[in-house]
Amino acid sequence: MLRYTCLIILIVAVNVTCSKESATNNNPSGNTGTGGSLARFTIVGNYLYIASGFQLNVFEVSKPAPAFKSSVPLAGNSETIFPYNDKLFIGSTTGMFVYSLSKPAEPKFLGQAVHVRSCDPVVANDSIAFITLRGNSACGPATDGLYIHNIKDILNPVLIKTIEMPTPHGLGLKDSLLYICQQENGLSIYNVKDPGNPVLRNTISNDYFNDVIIYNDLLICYVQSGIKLFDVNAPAEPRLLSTVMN
Amino acid sequence: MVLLFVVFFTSCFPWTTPHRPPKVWGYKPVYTADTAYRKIEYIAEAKPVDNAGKIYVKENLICQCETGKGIHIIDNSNPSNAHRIAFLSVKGAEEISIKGNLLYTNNYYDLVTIDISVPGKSYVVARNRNAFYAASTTQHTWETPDAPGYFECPQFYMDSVISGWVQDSIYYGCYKQ
Repeated sequence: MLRYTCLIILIVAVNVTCSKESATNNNPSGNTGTGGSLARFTIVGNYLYIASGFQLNVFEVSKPAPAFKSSVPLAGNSETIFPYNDKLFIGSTTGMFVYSLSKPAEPKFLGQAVHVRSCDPVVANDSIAFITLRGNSACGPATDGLYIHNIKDILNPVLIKTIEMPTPHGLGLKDSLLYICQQENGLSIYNVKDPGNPVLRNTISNDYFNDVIIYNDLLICYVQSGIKLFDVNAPAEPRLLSTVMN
Repeated sequence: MVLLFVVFFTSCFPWTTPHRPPKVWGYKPVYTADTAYRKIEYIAEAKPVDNAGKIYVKENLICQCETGKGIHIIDNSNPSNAHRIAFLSVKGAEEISIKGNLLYTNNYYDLVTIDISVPGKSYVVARNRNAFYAASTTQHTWETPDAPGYFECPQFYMDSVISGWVQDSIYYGCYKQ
């Protein structure tokens, strides 16, 4: 499928990862979980946003039955959506759009991050975005690798570091460690405390890694053969807990 | 007289005939107005994974899409022994999100809200028609045939969905690599 081959992505907010949110949220009914890297819809607070082709559909979900709020036309064919602080990043085939959620029922177009490749939604902590690009995607040619951007000015990301690596896919961030799925090339773990100078800490081979979710001290990996769960109390030394075979 | 001549002999001039794209051998969508696709079923047993899709985690629950067919439910209350416990059958499902006790997914183009608070059961709380419909795109799994090649670009109808694909002689439209 087009959008799977067109892979890229992931980002994770250091200060606002969903897992931290849910871990500190005392109201169970307000809890949302954590998804992987290529979602087409997302929940932020009491609103659900669907990136549906050339439009962004907004539903209020404070009550059990979602209530349609608005439909915002998009300037490109959207593929992924990623919430980041009070903003939405929408990856499309013609660029990454940034919307403000200051009025959550009516997302407002802020601009387009032209230097970020079209189908590469990204985000990271407050100032750094980590993106994986693959050369053979529908987004056009690129060198396979990890691309690190300074996003202090969100509409003008500045590339600060590129690390070439084969077949990078989904990724996840836990504190200063970045977990990068590389399909048949395993899972790489980088220390990105100094984002301009990431240091490879560990590599787990022996499986085909597609995507990861970090949930508290659990690293949940979507691998070719099923789902693998690792304990990451020692973040650079994942310890296999169990495998759910397909 | 000149006008008559033009009217009668128009078809003799090939450059006046409208351009027809060539026909090719490819896949044609089959539409159904049957609403049986809306049936959502909780099956309290593990099903094998054939077409693994997106994953989603909330507390002791891991969900994984069986792309186009439903959602595998994995019990993660003991991460050392995570295992599939059930399958939520939802036709067209590609996406998952959970808030509180409510699971949101797509049933073809519809957004469905499913209460999963009672273990072993589930029921549909709401259905928002066509929330996932995307005009003139082929983003969803059912909008392209499984095999590569030419296919007739899918149309969108308010009261039907694509239930499958058949091979036929079609006008060139879309192509899957």
